[in-house]
Amino acid sequence: MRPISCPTLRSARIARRHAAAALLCAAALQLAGCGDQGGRGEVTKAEPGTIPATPQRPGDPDAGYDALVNRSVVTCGIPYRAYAASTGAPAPEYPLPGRRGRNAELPYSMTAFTADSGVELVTSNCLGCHAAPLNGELVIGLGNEFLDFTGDPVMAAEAVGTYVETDAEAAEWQRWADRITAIAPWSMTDTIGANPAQPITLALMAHRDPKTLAWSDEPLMRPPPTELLPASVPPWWNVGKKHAMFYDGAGRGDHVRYMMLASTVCTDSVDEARSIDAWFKDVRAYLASLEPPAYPYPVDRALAAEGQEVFLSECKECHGRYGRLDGGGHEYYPNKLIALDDVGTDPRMARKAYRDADRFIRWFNQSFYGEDSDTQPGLGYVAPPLDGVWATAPYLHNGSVPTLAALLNSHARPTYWRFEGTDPDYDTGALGWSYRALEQGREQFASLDEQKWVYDTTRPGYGNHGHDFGDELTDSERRALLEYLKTL
Amino acid sequence: MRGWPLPLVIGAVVLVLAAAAVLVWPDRRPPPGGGLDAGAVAAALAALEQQDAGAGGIDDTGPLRFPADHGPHPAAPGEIWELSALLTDRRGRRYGLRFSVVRLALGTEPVQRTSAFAAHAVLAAGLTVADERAGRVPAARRVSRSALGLAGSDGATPGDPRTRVWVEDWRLSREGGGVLRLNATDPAAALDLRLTPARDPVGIEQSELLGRTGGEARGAGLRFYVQPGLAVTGSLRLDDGRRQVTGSAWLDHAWGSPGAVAGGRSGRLALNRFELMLEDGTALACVHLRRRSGGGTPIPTCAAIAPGGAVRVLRRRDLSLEPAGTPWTAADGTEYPLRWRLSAPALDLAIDIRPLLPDQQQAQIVPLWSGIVLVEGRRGTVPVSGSGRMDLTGYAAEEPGSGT
Repeated sequence: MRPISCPTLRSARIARRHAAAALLCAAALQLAGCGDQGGRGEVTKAEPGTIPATPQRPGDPDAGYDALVNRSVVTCGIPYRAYAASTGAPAPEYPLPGRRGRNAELPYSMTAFTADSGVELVTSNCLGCHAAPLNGELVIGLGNEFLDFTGDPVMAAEAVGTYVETDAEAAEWQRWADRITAIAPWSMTDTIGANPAQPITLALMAHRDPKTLAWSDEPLMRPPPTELLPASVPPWWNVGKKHAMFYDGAGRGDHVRYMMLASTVCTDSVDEARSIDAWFKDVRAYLASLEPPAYPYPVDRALAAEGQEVFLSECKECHGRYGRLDGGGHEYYPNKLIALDDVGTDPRMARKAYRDADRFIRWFNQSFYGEDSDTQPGLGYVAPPLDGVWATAPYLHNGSVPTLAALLNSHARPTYWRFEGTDPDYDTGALGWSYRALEQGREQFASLDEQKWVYDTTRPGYGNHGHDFGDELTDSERRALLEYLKTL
Repeated sequence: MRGWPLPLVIGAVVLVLAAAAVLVWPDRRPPPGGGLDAGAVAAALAALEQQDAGAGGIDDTGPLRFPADHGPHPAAPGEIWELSALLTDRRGRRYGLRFSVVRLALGTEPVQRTSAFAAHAVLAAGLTVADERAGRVPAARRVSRSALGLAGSDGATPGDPRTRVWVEDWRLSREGGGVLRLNATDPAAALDLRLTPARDPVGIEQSELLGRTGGEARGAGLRFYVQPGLAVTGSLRLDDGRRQVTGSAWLDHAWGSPGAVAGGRSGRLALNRFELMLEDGTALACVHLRRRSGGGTPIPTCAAIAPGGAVRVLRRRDLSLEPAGTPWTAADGTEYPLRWRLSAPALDLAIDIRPLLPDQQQAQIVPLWSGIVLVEGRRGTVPVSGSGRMDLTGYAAEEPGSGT
């Protein structure tokens, strides 16, 4: 069904000002049959300010962890035999407690799944992006900022066919490879660390009927643009504090189904989505129970105490307060969407979601995933909780600022920079992974293999401006504040 | 490093030389050279293929070293040398030459010492000459066990940079200055050629050509270099007499695991391979992967080698390589797309590829079309031409070992 746009409802603000017109428009939508889920055809836009809490469905964190490391949310993949033949099935590099059966033999980013055909598959899981090594240990919930999505997944997916043997395996491989191919234009970034989960999610929506979730090889609506904006992977241990998912706070209401959404590569029916949802509420409960890792290096407690004073006067208003619980046992965290003009960071991601994503929001609202959700893009970014912030470099939604020291001093931000490899040392002075400032952007390198390492903040969407609140601090205040941030 | 966070597969890498090696896969009929039963060789190959197609007993990480790497690599279970050339006589008559030698260790353990290897290898050589005007393709082959002394290979030593590989009276040798000599005499054809390098050999790592999409893949188990643009002079005898010829040749030399060198399995995929030498000095080594069953997305990849040796890899998103025109039907009914169009905007290059002769297909255990091709097109607005070699596989209705 073609969504009917209702210009007077394009913004909640306008809707409020013109309540009568809004009512009329809503009625028209009902009559036209596109508001058949109580006006789900409309798209609500959020104003900057406090994001209200929504009660989340209760879940069992222990069951959630077990599901996270043992159950497949992605239900298509590589036949295990082809996986083993092509890779030699190397032993896992990092132990993942609680993995059972075949899963105990797989790298942490993969999960075994037996398809209805009886073929055992190896599928990708959440931890591929949402776990990362830190000091030699795998930290669940730490976004992996060194993933390389610059390669061509179509090539990799097709190449698997070399090792596929039986017809049943071939059918599973082709289903998976065809899906990977369908979303490939939205899976390929050109910079190490830039994560394409968001455009992949939108591309998947474009290929599905929102009511039945049935797959269509041809897109059913205009897919998202293939010029991808860089996104950093936010840490999971903030899930419990945040009232809304996503950098622009658009993911309001029930969080579980937003979480499932990026992994719906092969979820082709409402029944399957519903069965995943039944255990994913436990996964959400587990994520909400996560704590950040402790800073593993020495901390100057006296200096940190000075820094706390700076924090309380300069940062608390947006980022909350740490180490002090209220009567409900919670730390103060205001859940604020900060207007683009106020935070000043690269506006493109928020603007794109605000201006050019209504069709996806309508899709979502009509679908199983949107039943209890309330998507509201806003022209701003949420000031995130800062728990474990020392571990989550690079900073800002686009990962454009390599260290906390640079985040707190906009003059110290490199225009062009690159990590020193995929496993750089942690810089305990600047708080972030060691990087090298470059004189020029990508153009200085001939090969894509070198270009992909260059973070070029002059490119659209890659800007490192804004959040310059630290510029007014003295050097000693900044040093103290950095010391304090190690303790969060 | 971390790569695409899906299981990473180097699947296609074993295919790089599949088409090349089947050229000398023993025929079902007894080899004309005698002394070795083709069935026995095939059985030995089958045993070798049971091996893990991993590193294949070779160091596949260090740089290639010449002249040593021109010679044999006894530690590698399999090895192949291949020459492809377009030759022209004084009257302008053109001939497509293919000459290949494959060495396969007989045994399930990679053999470490030259002397031991010498007793446990099979060498097979194949020769074809596509005669454009006569429309014929005389072919011959030799197969011998190295233990009999009828075949073998000599590597370079500190005091002597020369290398050679021979099967009976057929010999491909390299002199100290890098000049190659090819001598092969058979009732069907005889060759005495001198091939002078115009450029250094260039290592083409499989993973590079086929796209290393992540660091968790194992070593390819194969070393592979090419030397395009060899200037050829010498004589060619066919049944209508001997003539002087000149031309341009391309040498491939690869060694490693038998799966990689001897044709390996290709599962649900089929591979086409192109090696094209343009007269402006650009050499293109391309592979084209596709599903045997149809569907999916064909994956072309090319390594463009500049005259100075710089390699630029062009991937699926940087080029198109597609069949053009109607397919040609072989005697067995298989339809092969013999005309292709390659365009690489990054090189400002658009070329058409067509066979010197349509009927260059060789009857082998694994059906394929393999032959010399002509290239014409444009780089920008400037006409460009050249020649090369093309291998097409997976077009026959049913193929042994395809897993179907």
